[in-house]
Amino acid sequence: MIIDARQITDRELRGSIAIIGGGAAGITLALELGKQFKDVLLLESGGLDLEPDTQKLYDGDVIGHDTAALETARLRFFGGTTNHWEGKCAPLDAIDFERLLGRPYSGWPFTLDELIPFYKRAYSYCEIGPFRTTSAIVDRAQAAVKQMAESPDLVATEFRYSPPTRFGERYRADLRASDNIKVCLHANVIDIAVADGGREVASVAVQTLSGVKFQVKAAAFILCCGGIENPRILLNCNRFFPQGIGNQNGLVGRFFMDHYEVYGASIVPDHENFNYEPLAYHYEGATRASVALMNPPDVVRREGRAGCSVIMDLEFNVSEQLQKAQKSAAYRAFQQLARNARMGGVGHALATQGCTALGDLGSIATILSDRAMAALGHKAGLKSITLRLEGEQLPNPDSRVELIDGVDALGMRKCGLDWKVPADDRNNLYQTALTLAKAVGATGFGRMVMPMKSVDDDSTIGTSFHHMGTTRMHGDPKQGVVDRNCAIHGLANFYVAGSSVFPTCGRVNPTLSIVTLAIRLADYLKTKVNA
Amino acid sequence: MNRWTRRGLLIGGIVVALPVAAIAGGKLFCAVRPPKSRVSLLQSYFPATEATDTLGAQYLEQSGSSALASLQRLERQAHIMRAAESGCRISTMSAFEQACRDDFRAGRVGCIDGWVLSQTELDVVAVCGAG
Repeated sequence: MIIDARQITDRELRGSIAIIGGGAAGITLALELGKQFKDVLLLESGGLDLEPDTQKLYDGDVIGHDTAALETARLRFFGGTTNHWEGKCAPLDAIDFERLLGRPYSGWPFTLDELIPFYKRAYSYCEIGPFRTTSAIVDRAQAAVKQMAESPDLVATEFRYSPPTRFGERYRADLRASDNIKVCLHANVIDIAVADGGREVASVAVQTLSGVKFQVKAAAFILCCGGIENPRILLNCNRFFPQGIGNQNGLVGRFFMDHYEVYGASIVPDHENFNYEPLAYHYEGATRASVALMNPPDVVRREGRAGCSVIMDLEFNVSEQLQKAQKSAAYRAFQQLARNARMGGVGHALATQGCTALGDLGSIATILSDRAMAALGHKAGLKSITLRLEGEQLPNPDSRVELIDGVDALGMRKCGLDWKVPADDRNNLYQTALTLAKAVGATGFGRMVMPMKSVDDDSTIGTSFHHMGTTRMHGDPKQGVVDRNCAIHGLANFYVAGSSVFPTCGRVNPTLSIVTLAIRLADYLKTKVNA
Repeated sequence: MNRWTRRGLLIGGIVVALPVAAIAGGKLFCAVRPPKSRVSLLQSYFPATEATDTLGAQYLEQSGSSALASLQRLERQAHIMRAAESGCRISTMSAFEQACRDDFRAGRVGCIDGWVLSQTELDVVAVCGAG
């Protein structure tokens, strides 16, 4: 069921497990735990839609490398940041879990193999088709990639695209219908009470923006509010531990990572008769998939580099009329309707999208006639390939989330994000781009324009809105905030879910792995906590 | 011995000195300035445009190198020069493209205004554009 904390009159709510945060991790945990426990509580700060006053609770300062404002980089309502998720999915690479020579802070407490069974289940939550270890679209693209870029240091890889699954919308009906799960909206956790000499959490204090206050008691608590808010809450709750919960070694908030996103690179081809089809988007059933390039594990090992993906968007020589049609709202609505139809549904905005599409049938007809001509063999020439680099950030203790002066409407201290972009990471992006530029020249396919002027140029390096690493996982409490089971070191019943536990972030988008780790944690809690 | 008159010696000296001076002068001229014929030959295949002028000037400024050094590198690429001298455009362009591909494979590249170009391309724009 779904309730509103503003209507609660009781001083106390009780449950077997209390989940704090209703994003991808929190909703997955609720759905999984609801299969076994009869009283799962999911505390969500926001409502079902964006509310400015609640969103303002995310306000904070950007201290380090320029990045998106903290208030806009994430969303604080039911479904969390999946409400503006692009949907790009791929599992982490095996090398991301390895402890690499000469790479401090590398490695997870387990290998990729341990996560595979959970990835299989996460694919279903993210609606990206069945899990496979091979990729048909990568196999199909090999010849085109070889024709375009000749280098053993770049290989093809696959990304799949979720519809994207807006977790708050997609699973709302299931949560509402469940007798075992109670979703409590507008419930902000403002304090965590520690008991048993600091060895377990007894309760959390909840407050709404309207002033309603109550306690939540549970056998286990899971914090899943994202890579910035998780450390902020832990650092703010300092009544028992002056330095904050889980922060006995000063690690909470440190090792902040984001995926570097670098625009501005493109390849201009010399060849007009290049068969670009294998590099374009493909559908496998209802799932969109695309080919990207990546630096393979042996390059990462041999050169001590981080992971990096190169996303390719094909641009064609098309008429002005067609360009205009492709950008029209009518065509976008038509695309959405077609996507919904492929997935066997009509979507929740059928009427709006239908009216928008009908409002400009000329644009849709222009595109469809172009498609028909393409099907008959008349294809537009490839104008360029726009490139986007998505690079791994190596763990760095100086890159961090920290509390700053000033409090929010609930009296909690705001946080600042000191994002560092060190030379090694810049070099990785630059070298990956340069490798591709050389490879494209070596085949005679064309020439490439670089996204960065030099290794020192960080002006084009931006955020991917992936906030990771701030409560990192490690078996040793001196090197990590949570253990291999996502329990905060030293606390028996307090867990953290989400990308804040990632010790390394690899090169791929985190949502699929967030859901995977949430399923793994749920399975663990099913054996650990008595129903 | 009396066959060598002063006039004869003077004329003989001039006859010997003129070619020597011409050869030495030519060598000196070539040493300080690119031979116009080679530059013209390359320019006939790679005509100067606004783009090559700009790229060439930027390359020379950025690298601190000279057009002469670029020409000397191009002259060492015998297959390009032979093809150019043969007058065959297809052979010349083919040799040029092969040289560019070899440069990219060997990592002989430069970055001008973000564009990654082969050393051969950079030499051509330096000679034909800014040269």
